[in-house]
Amino acid sequence: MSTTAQAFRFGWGTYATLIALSACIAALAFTVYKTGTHETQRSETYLPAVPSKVATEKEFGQQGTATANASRPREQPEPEASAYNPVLQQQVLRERASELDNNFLNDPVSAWAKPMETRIANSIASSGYLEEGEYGIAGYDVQCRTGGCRIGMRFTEDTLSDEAMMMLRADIADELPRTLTVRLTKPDGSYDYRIYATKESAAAQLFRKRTANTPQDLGDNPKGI
Amino acid sequence: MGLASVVVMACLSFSPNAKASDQKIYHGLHCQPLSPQTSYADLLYRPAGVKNITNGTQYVVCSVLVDLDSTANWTATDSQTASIAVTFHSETASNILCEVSVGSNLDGTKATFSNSGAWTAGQVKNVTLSNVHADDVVAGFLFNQPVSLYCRIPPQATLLRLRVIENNVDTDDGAL
Repeated sequence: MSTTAQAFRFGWGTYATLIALSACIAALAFTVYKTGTHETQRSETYLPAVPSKVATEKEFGQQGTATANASRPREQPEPEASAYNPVLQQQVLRERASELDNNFLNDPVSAWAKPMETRIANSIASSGYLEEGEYGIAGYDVQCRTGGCRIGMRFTEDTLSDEAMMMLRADIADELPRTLTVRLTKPDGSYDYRIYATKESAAAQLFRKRTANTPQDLGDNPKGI
Repeated sequence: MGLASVVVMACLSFSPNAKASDQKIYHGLHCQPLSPQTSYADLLYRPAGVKNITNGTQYVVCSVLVDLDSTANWTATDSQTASIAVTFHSETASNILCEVSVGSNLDGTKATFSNSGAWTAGQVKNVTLSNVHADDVVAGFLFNQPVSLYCRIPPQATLLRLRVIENNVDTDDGAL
């Protein structure tokens, strides 16, 4: 290979390397710019757009644990990320249970309902969790319609509830593969679980929200971190 | 030429804007025996996966990691759902069931999605749980919903792996 050819090869390789390095620097600069843009957009996205239906900003203030970001003065410290309000939480859960009850009760009763109620009752009765004393199922209620069933379970103590419900779900998953469980605290300290179990085809109807714009952000943890 | 290629590849690999994968594989070893129904002695943990070595049905529970970026909470409203495929090998004809839970009974609602399938002897295939998401209403109240998987493993069946796919590919934007 001639000297000229070697020089050409050396020069081309160097040139290509420089182009690659330039592209790399440009990509990094673009990344820094885009990251800044995302952060800006995200902050705007997580500002509560409308006052919550279940807890207005005024109610938040009265309960004293969280205030919606939109009205919080800049000098006020950020709320703690995990500052849950149990009273508000129960309020949200009760409203959600009420909504799910409403969906369920509007579903007509079909011939499928009665045998399914019997099947679920038999599953609970044979599970052994009714004989676990204060740790087991203190009471239950089963109602089925067309798209699914509502199963109420009461526990005095919460130790075995997760396990008992898991075993029941596994037993009925062939017909009711989707469930939504809401746990309500009773005044006497016991727990009232509502299990809304549905057919796949009925989940969208039975789990639907009453309003299209139910607030997603109640202000206690706006960035979800 | 070779040097240039190396530089370009290195640049792309280390760029913070490179999207992390929204598809993740978890080994079966990630799963734990579900007590009190199942103990470690009922399962064989090996590089192939976790195998039920008893003559009865055993249960495992596995945690599923969710990207903690701004949009990682899986909700149907935001079209940010996920699918989870759980791969099993069964030495005998059997039926395998899995359930994924999003959320927790203890701090809100729990949404569950179940599916099952029939295996012939020696078959390897998946139980797939699709359109997995938190309850739309309460997901926003309590962020960072935990996701777990629970499977019922018949005798002599092995859980090989979990494949988790977050459908919204924009969740990993490289910026935390």
